[in-house]
Amino acid sequence: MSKITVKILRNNPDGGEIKDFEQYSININKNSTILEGLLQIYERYDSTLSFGYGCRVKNCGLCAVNANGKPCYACVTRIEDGMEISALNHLPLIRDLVFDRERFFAFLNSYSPYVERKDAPETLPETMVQPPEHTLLMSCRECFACMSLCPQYDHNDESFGGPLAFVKLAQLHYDCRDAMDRPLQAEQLGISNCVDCKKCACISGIPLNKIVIRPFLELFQNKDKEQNR
Amino acid sequence: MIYKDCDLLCIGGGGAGVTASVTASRKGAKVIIASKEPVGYGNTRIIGGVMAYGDLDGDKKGEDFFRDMVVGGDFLNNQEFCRMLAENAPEATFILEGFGGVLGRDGEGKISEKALVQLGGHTSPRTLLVPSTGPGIGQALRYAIFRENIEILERTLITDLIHEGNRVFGAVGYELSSGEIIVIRAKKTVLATGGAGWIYYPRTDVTRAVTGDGFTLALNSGAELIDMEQVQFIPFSLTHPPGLVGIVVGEPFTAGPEGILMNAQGKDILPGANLKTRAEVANAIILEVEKGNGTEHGGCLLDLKNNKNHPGGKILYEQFTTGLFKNITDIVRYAYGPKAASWDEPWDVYPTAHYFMGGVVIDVWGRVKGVENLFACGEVCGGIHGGNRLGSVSLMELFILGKRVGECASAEMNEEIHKVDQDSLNYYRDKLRRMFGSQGKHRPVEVKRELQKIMWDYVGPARTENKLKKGIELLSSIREKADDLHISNAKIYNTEFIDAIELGFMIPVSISVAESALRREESRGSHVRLDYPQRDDENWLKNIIIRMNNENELEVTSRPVRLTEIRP
Repeated sequence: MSKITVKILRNNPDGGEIKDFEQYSININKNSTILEGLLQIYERYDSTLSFGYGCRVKNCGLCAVNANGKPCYACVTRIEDGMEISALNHLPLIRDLVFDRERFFAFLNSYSPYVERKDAPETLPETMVQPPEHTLLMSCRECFACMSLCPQYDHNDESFGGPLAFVKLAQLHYDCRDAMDRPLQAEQLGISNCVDCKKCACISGIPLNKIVIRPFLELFQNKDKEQNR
Repeated sequence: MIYKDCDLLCIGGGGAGVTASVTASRKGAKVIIASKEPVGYGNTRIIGGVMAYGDLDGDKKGEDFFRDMVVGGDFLNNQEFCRMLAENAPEATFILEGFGGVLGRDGEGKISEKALVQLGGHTSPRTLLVPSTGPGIGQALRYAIFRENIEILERTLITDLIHEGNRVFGAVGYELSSGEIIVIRAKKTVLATGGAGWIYYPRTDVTRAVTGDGFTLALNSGAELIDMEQVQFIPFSLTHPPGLVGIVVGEPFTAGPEGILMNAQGKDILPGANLKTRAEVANAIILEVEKGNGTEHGGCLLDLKNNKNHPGGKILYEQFTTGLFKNITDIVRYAYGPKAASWDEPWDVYPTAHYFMGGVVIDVWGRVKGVENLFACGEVCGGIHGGNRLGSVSLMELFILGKRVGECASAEMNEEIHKVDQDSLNYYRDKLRRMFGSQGKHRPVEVKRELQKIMWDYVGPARTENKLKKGIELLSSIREKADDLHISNAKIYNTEFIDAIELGFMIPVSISVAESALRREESRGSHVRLDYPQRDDENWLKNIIIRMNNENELEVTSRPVRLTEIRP
């Protein structure tokens, strides 16, 4: 067991948005996780520290935080001496490390973020072969880390949906049952403002640029060329 | 205080709650869904990736499935439920896929024998894989909610049901993001809050929100809980690092044909562990550790190495390294290192709490027995799975029952919203307001952790009369501490307030589990009494019932199981 010091960016909505790093000294073992550190602080020193977590094994997507400025799952990332832990970037904060997810989904709701079919299935169960991209995208943790990594995204700017919005549209785009024009929606959500910087790497391992960003960008660029001809 | 009115209030945003809400909304009901976590981020999202479809048996209508459920449940099940579920099982797939989820298929995109797998306790292959695993189901649930005109109150902790005697008229809660107290008046209320695995934290694999809220809300309004002693433990979970204690790494079959379950001295403690039940393996590990033969981390060792030289074992190894169980290997690598991940070093393992078979007594339409206007679906319900739930059945069950609840509640909708007396609403409000800034002795999380430790040490697997009595005695001291809490006065996202409310739910649930376990003087299903190691059909073919009496005390009774179709 060894003693380390970590800093956590606190944010108190009751006290007028005071944001400051607070320092804590904790005991860790080999392989101790960030979540373990947060829980130790919570249990021993300060049970007003707010942070999200659920399953403790990177399935639920609730515990994503920035560690030294990089997003990760607190439940499966080693905690280190001197680590700075803060909430994900670009999102509306509720308290400390907890941010508001509802606002984004409410915004996305005007784009029918669900399977819109043309016809009812012919048989039950339905015969269908989904492309592998669809399966991959349905394993998205909706953890918002990609939004934190995107330099273009800001929750106050509704002209740009951000990577998670494009992921949701791509899920439906690849879904063989969906009949809506999702590339058009990607355009409406500002895919043309994406600078293709490839920074929105998924921390759950989905090849975001390859199966979401590139295809939408290319569809937009091709359409743009066609119109200019 | 915020006031809202609706036809149907659903408490809980997992698979059961979403299905009930969506069904009622499609029938024209005005629905509010209140969820502690964001909708679809609960236990349904972290399922292992299997869902029962049923047998492709044409005219047999699930006869074998029915029998497997009852035999697997050690005859404690309400057989009417098992019959209903076995007959309707495929509908769960239609519901989930209607939401936008996708279940596994054969190469032609069909659900055929090739797509079905056989799990332990099932006598035929009748289970489908979920290709996107749990998160894909969580997303389908969110699709389904967004499509309907349902009001979503996420991060809303329901603290009390509004009831007059045994008639329920909605609920009171705390909106975490705004810090407001909220009153939701409803014609019908649905409990879809899941189980209570968190009373065993860290020895559990459930998500942190699962603190038994619905069990206690139901008890308080006059409902009965059935067979609360029946808690399913999975034998193999991690023992370190502390942040990952309780995370599942395997079932008995994981041991494989050549695996050895041994104590710290290397002695094989349960030959043929891969063919034993979850309860047998879990108890073997606990007893060995109690004898002082555990590892420095308080577990036993699961040595899988020899499987790599065995044809069947090799297939299992491939499933763990590149196939269906790759996620487990990832977490073993993180916790125990690369040699453990490649099965060259043994895994340090200990049991973990997984699922509550016991719960609120309902009928086959999800109406809560003895309480008007109240429904329940999902893990919060009891009596369906008896003493032991077969793998992949609960995911199927929650869609079927969720839909039934949505249909029944909207068909029986009252004409008007009951005008709840303002004084009684003020009573709930004042009770909550007083908690903010209260200056008691104990921090809620400390008392919570103390309760969890008591539950594991005295009311975990491998029970005895002495341990249970000691546990019950210690739980009453927890009750005193819970009346003397220190809570900050922060309005928004007050974590100490959340802990205090959850502690208030966990105490009656824990006492219910302990008292039921003490009452059942036999070993049946997941309930193992070391002092009564045999199943005793002569005396204990009974359900154990908990209810709250007029003095707010829990009463334990028992009644014979209604063996409507088959008997042992």
